Amino acid sequence: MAEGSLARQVAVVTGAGRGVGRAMARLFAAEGADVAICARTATQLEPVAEELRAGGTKVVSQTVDITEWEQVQAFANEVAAQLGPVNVLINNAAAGADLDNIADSDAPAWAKTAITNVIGPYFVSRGFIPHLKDGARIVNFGSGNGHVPVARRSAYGVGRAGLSMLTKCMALELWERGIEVNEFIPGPTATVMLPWAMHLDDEDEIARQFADRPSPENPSERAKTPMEAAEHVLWMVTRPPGGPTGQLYSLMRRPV
Amino acid sequence: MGNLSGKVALVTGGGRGIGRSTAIALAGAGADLAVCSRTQAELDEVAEQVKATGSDCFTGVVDVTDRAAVERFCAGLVDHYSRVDILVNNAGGGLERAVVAEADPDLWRRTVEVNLFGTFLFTRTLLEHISDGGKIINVSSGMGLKAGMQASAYNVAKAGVHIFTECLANELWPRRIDINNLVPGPVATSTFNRDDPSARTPTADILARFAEAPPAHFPEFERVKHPDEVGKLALWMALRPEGGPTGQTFSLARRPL
Repeated sequence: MAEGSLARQVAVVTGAGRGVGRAMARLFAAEGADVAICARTATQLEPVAEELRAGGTKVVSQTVDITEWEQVQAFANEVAAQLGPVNVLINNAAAGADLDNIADSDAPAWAKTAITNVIGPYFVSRGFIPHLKDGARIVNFGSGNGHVPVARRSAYGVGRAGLSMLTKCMALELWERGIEVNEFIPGPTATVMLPWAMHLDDEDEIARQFADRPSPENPSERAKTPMEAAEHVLWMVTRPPGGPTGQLYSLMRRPV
Repeated sequence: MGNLSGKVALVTGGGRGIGRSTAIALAGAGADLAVCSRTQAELDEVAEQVKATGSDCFTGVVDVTDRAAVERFCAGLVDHYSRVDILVNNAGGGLERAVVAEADPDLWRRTVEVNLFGTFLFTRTLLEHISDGGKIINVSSGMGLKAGMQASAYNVAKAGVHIFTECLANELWPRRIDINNLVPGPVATSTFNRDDPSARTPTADILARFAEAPPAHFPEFERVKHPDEVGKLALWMALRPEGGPTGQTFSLARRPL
């Protein structure tokens, strides 16, 4: 069998218990990487870890709330100790879009959403940067909501806008180590984050009803499968050295 | 990588540099090519390289700002291939390099015409012949997203290309035609090297000149790349499945834009 495109590499995926995070963990493992995964919900994360181990992949799996610095730091140190220097870091974990006006919002919940979407990825990056191999790749998951204002999604939009800026700052600071940092916007994807499937929490059911079908909100958009988004990220992290950094790669079907 | 056999691709400004690399990359994936530029000798070289891959190559000498010439070339292309699946609006260049206070109004206007009007004109002329599910790739520039100095016409024209791409994406999705910008970042081309047209510098010499550092108006972390690297990205963009990105920008730059 041909060697995978991530053979002998270590890849970290946050929010890997479901959705695009789980698809990336599966794809990176299939491409030969050792994989470190985290999520808040052990009942979602553990089956993913078991599945990957059953396939022969070396896995570090830990329940982490990325808004808790000590937990993130402990995870990063554990990954480095068990798997060695990290080649690929994917900041995928996010908190779902809020659905309230600012005027009606629950202030602590609003803050938690914004924090999860920008401070969380900062903590993860801060924890892992000392353990990154020179030439490593970082992909930060963004959103159209981080670039275009949307009513009743202010906390999510503010968080993702902040992450977009963090991406560019990290690119400016990490290039000397050959580390390339880019933002990725998957556009609508058939996961629990799909805005028109918020009433459902079963991803198989969401995929059955919505994958590859147009958006009821914006008919040019189409809900992608998680694996289609994951394959794009694999392409991004396997570009030759000296490639794009500080850039935005988007699968949206509307101008950002 | 996928396959473009049976597809027809047009690359404007395909005689040299990024356009030539793109034409050869698309031909290498099996597409039949149409290429135009202003210089017959360069077209002959590209046609030979395209045909060496086993693909057909239709060529024409065209100034992309000359409406009659563009329409004549496109009519001939449609006559030859009957349709276009992939349009790469690549022709462009910075002609006016003075500060606004000293700019030559004619050169300023011509810069906008070559980069923006030419992109519109080829798109407008060919649109009814572009297959449903086709692709349009507009070669833009980081300078279209960020102002510099002594290049206002080019900045403005490429900014116009960006918004034109977005307008087209909004209009063309019902035909499943996806249109995106490609930002190459600094590339070792004769245009980038500001060559006099009478003496074009070979790619290898330009790469050698900037091997240690890019020109002073770029940050030190930019890298001057080979045009073939851009051709590869254009090929990847042409190979996206239907329902892929549209109205987006794919950039090889290494500086935040």
